[in-house]
Amino acid sequence: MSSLRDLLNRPGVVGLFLILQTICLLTIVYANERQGKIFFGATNSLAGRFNESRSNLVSRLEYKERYDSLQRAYIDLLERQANAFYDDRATIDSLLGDSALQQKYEYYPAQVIKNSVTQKDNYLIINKGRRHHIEPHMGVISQDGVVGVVVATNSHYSRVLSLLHNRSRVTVRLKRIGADGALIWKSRSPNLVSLEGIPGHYQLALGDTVVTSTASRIFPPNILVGTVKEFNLPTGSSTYNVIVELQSDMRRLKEVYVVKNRHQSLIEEIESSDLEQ
Amino acid sequence: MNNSAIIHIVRFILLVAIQLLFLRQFYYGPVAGVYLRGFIYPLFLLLLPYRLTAEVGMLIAFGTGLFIDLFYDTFGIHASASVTLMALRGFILERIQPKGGYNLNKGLTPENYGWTWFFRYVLFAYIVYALWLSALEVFQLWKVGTIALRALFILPISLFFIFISIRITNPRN
Repeated sequence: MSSLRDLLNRPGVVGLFLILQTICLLTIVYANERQGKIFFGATNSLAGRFNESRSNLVSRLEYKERYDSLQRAYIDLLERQANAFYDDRATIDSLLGDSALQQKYEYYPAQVIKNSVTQKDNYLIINKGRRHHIEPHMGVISQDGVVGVVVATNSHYSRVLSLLHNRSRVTVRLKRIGADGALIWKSRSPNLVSLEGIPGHYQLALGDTVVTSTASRIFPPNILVGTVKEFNLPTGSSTYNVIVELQSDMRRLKEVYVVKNRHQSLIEEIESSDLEQ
Repeated sequence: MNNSAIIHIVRFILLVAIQLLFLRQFYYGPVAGVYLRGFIYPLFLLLLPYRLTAEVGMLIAFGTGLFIDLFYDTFGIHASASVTLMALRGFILERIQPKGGYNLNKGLTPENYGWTWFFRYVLFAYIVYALWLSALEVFQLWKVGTIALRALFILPISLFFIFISIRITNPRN
């Protein structure tokens, strides 16, 4: 092979060979129909693939933009709901105008980046944090209902105590009869939670809707939580054992909204001062 | 212009004439077929003087190939195959070098180095030439089988006419 190596070591030979072959190749693809089709077909399909992926990217950006505007509209809608306002009127005979209504709840969008439903105590991680006005004790909801409560934040991320957590206590209300109870997860099934503290003298029905209570400091009232799936009144007990089927699929959470209650500290303050007097 | 140059010019004219007037008929004529064709003009390149540098050889090959391309409507294909043949000619000659080496003043003919040597020379050179030519004709390099088959069918007819013509003229240079 020494002679081949000698040949390759002669830049004149290699250079001339490459020049002549380039001329030949260009002639071949431009002057011959078959070779031209194959050559330009290949390059066109390459260019086509590039254009396709670029248009995919563009459409994905467009899609993202459209999605963002939908999300803004949705948040706007949430913040215009009656349950997001504080009625600032001193007497009810004054007109219920804009000035009389104070925004009480604000919503911030976030995405779930980590979620568990199979543990004994489940948490979620969302991709927004202190930079995005997220603080502990804020509620988290999805379009389908209550998700959990923020327990820890850093600059960019927050940890959310899921409804599916031993320590999770959400005050909810049976909408039809107006009785409050506490939502507690005992079942280890990701869509079933227990509702405790409903007095036994109420007449429950299967399918009764369960919503967030006005007594909740975290969530706006009347956000859907789920429906009554089972209930029984144990003998010797004054309260029902109620099993509630959650409306939102906790396994498939993606887009969530963090709820900020502007009056949270005011309520806390008045609650604690109550004891001192 | 010396005697040797005239021999090569005459050989060029004769071989190209045989190629275009006779062998081309296998390709375009009544018995045309992709697998029924031969190329004798590369013999002109193979018989060029041993002392010719690869650069000059490639330029001559390029011109010869383009001339053939004009008549075969295969612009660039014969030129490319011929250039490759001449680029690798030195390497092929080195691999089949006879015991005494090459004599700078003798032509690369069976008269000077024997028929066995000449057969190997032509065979190796044509394998390179035919593969390169077929690859460019098919132009889809992953169709290895088609390329090899086309190359294989170039060899018998080409070699047959080369040996007949050498046998008849028995050139020294």
